[in-house]
Amino acid sequence: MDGQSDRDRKSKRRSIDDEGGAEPAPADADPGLSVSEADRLEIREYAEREMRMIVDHIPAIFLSKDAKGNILRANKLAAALYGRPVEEIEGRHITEMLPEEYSSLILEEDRKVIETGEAIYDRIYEEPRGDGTRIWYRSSRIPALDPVTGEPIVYSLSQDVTEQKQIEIEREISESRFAMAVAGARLGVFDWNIETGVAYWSDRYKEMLGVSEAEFSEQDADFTQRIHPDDRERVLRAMNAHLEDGAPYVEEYRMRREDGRYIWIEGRGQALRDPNGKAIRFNGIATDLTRRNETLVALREREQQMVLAERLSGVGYWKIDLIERTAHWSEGLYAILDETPESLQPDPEIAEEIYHPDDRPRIRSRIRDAIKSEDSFDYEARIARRTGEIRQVRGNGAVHRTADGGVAAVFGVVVDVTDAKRREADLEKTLEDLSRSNAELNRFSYVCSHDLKEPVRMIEGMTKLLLTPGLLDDEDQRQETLRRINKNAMRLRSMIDGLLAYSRIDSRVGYSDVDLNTVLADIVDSLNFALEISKAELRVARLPVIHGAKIHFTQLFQNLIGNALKFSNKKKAIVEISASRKNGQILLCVEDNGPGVPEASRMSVFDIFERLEGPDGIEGSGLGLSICKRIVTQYGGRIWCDESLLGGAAFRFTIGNKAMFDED
Amino acid sequence: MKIETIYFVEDTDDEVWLSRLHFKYQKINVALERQRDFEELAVALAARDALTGLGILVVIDLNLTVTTGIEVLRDIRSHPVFNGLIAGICTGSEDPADEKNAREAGADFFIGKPLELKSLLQICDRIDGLSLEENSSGSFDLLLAD
Repeated sequence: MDGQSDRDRKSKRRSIDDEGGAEPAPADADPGLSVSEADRLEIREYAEREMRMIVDHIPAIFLSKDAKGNILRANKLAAALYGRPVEEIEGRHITEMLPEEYSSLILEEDRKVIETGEAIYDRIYEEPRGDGTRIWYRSSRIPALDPVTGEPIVYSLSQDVTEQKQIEIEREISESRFAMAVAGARLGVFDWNIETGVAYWSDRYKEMLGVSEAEFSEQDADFTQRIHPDDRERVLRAMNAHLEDGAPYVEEYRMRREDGRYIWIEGRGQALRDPNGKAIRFNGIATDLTRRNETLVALREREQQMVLAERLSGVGYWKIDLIERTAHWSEGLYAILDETPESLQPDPEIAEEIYHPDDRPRIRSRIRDAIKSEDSFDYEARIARRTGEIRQVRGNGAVHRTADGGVAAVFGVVVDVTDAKRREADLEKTLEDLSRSNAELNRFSYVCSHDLKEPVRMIEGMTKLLLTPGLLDDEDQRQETLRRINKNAMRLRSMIDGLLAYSRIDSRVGYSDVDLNTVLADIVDSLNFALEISKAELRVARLPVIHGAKIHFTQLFQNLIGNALKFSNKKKAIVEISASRKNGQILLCVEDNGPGVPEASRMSVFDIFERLEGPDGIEGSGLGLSICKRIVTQYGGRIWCDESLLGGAAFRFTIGNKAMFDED
Repeated sequence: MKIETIYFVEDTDDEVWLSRLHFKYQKINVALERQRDFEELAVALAARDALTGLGILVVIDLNLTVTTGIEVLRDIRSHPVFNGLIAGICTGSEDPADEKNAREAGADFFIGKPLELKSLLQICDRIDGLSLEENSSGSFDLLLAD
């Protein structure tokens, strides 16, 4: 039914259009009615033509549809839109022209307009296109009656607003992105109307300053009053410069929050100007730098602490940035190197050259291992200063890696341990000396308790025999016993004298330059009688002058020469004294043509109370050579015994003290 | 087993002289032979026909001039023939370390000086089966008071 009716109506409409509006009335028309009908038809045709003309020239897409969605009329813009001639559009159903989803919406809208008789103006419709794009229309729908059939129809007038809509969408996206960026960066936004004094602060800006919505007043929101007094003048000067001359406005300053606390702000602003260039608004963004600045302040404090710690501890810091190819040396390291940033620039290429050449391969190897193992590394090395002075350093280092595991930098700290090492060595030597001294003391205590007791015990035992009635009645035996008691008493005295001499070696005596030639001349004088009796020959070479105590050298040579004479087993004893240089020290030698010292005793002969038996049972006190050793040791030297070319013993000793020969 | 001969390794004449006097007046019926070091001791011992079962005692002074009594003791203990002899140290030292060293070197006894009746009786107490032969009068006449 509907389809037939549509075709009839279309047929009627075509007949009208085809007549061109000026066709004569049919011949069989009722003349009485024909006039009025003709007039009516003429009027209608005229209206039709006028309507067509209007429709075709409306600057909008025009469609008229009946209640069922059949397109009754379309204009050229509609034809352009749908890509078909007007003739092919008119008479078609709207669903044939539009995608189903969209056409059903249009049908629904049209139905509402027809049913309610109320127009819809300027509604935006989004039409999906087959190629995936969309077109937006602004449409108005107006209810009307078909001038031919009198049936209700809808006029729709649409404009393609796709371009505007896209701009609008872009703007929304842009604004949305800006809003997100502002929110994400936690930026505060401000806008100040210079003429009215009204201010806008974004929520974030208010939050930064601790201002609640209720407390905020657009009229009184003068941010300049919140600037820290120390910063205010500078900020206002910069702002004025921008407002007046357009100078960039980017300032860091402190702003007082509502709770009185100050925060660090970076403000960036831009003026809006009237056509005459006068600034009328000032707006911009504010970034809260408090945390960054606090971190920076903390970092600066830490750096200062590190510098102080470096100064106090003698520690130096170095870093080689392998990405930037730069090197950094701290103040402490410069101090260790005895250089300044002006005298020596840190350079990754020469970084290892601060170390002694012999130590460089080891350090390089430690760093390579640390890079492989991802461990820290430590090392000890020498640093050769420009002056040639060698400093000993101990270092600890680590490797700083990039996110992908590469090596970004190598850094470390070094501490100058030269003085500590020296102290350590001194301490070790002191401990060694102390240990030796303790051993000597123990030995001394032992020999005193044992060796001194021996003659006492002898005397005691022999006197007991003498005092036992009826035991030693024989006069010869009594005399023999008394002689032995006397000998032991003398030996005891000799030992006590020796001990006294031994203990006096350490006494603080004044040092001076001692001419050993004079010392020997004095000794020869004192031994002159003994030398004559023993027919000894004393050969004395040229001797040096030594800085020390004359009494020590007198004792030393007296003991050695005395031993040589006492233990001589030759008819003519020969004693030879000579001096030479050896490894920067003076080597002195007292040698003889006597029996010599058995090889097994050449070390122990210098021990306290160690005795060698001479011809005819001659014994020493056991202290003479101990005293010699003690004197030589006190002068940083060493004494030993070996064979002499003269056939006897050679006692050689070095003296570490300053010494000079005549030729010096 | 009676002590027959004492080999006294001592380099101090007075010490030997004093011991001989003690032996004489204490009527100790033991031969006292004196050597100054291991070499002399070895010569003296080698001159004997036999060394075992004859009451031979080696008494060594701790502090000899050239060497030490401990070294002489070690020489004895390392000698293929003399190592089984009864041997020990005689000294004026009261240092416990000396006695410890002597024991470690193989000393059978460690006695104080002088070498006389009292110290010999100490050795006999220490060594099982060792004794002193009384002299013809049947008793030791003299024990010197401390």
